[in-house]
Amino acid sequence: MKVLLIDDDPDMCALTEKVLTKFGHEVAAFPDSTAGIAYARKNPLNLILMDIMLPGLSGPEIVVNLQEDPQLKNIPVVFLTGLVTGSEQSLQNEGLEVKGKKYPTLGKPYEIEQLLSAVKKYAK
Amino acid sequence: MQKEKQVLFFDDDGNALNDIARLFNDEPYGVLTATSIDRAMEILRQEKIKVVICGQRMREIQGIKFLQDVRAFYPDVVRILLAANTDFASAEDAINMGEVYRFISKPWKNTELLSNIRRAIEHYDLILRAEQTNQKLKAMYDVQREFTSTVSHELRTPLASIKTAIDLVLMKALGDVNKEQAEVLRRAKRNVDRLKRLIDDILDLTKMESGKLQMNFMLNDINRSIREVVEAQKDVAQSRGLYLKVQLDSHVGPVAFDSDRIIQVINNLVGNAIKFTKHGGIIIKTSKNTEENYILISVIDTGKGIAEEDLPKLFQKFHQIESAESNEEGGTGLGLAICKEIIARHGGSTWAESTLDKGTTFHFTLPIQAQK
Repeated sequence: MKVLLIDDDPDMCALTEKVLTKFGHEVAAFPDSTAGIAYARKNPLNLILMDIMLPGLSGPEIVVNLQEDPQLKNIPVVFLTGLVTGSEQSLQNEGLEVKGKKYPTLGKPYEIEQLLSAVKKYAK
Repeated sequence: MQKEKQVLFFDDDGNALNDIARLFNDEPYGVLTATSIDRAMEILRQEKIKVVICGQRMREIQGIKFLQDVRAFYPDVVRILLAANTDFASAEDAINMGEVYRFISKPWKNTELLSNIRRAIEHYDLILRAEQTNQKLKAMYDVQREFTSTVSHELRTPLASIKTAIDLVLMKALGDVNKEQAEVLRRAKRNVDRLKRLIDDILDLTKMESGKLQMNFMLNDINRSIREVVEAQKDVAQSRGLYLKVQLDSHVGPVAFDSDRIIQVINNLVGNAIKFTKHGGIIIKTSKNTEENYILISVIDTGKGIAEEDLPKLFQKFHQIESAESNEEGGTGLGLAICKEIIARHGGSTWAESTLDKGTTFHFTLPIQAQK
């Protein structure tokens, strides 16, 4: 799967990228939305994986922009965030709502199996 | 030393005012006088006035009307009306509507006037102090909540990197790991996971205590929730040679509860029971108390028991029972505090009974709402 990863923490970003590549996915990783979205316009993607708290535009703000973009609005998005606790994550299967649409949310730290199964489940 | 000007007298009879002002020479507070609305309002703007006293019949304005205006602009200022007995009916209305703190009828006794003013100042100070305390508490509470949430996020970010790095190596995604390396990494992993649970629990508990955690109350079948937990935990119990049985009262019927949170509670209680039981096993029981309208859920183990003096401490934060044979996983010491909080939010109670060397039973109740 081709995955766009946006995470401003360089270590976490590199490690998530490593996990996904080791398990056969193709990853383009960026620390903020500007470069990430520019990449998305030029390259086909199966999934966008991004943090919620980011410098510049926040995750949900980026999603609002994506929703308005006919070229990008159909790419599935999964949020990766340190803001949800483990118990909340199990309760929030439906995820975070942005402008009436629910986006699945994976809490950090995650279990590697959780990340891989989220990619498998949501990528298209 | 200049006395702090705390009292304002407003009346358009200047001579009467001067007489009154003289009364206050020995009082600890200073008094200002005004004979016009403009002057009275100017004083209120410039000085820290605590009490306003005014006559009822004035050329410019009625006393009650003036005090209404004072209330609108300076709601904290305590208002006293001086009026003839014939004005009492309208003054009574003003008092009842909260426009006026005291009504003093003319002619008054000086001692009565002074003691009323003293009381009015006390009243002002008391309310001010209560408000200040309240605001301080609110601010502290907000700061603490903000702090907990920030700290939790700040701790989680570095923890996420450490955990993913360890897991990635340990699952041999980066090449072979020898036995000794794996053993060391597993120790690191165990502690990272424990730290993660601890941060999660602290955040959950803080949210619950501040009422921020949303509960999703729906009519549910408690027996079904229990069967779900048993399904999830039976392998762990079995691997330790323990039985995990249920004795469910089929008449309990539907009760309103947050299914995810109650499953969290039962999971926690059963998990604890498994951890602290070496021989025998665990029974989960439900029963209905029709008289007092609640459902009782009990988790009964055959573990080594808890000393009676330790029972009340069980539900305190960060209280953990010292036990060599407790688990290798490491609890956070917050699980039972969280359970208790969840049950309290449901209007139920949580408690434990124990006999040393026989076992421990944890009970909680869920109230049955009157059917409409």
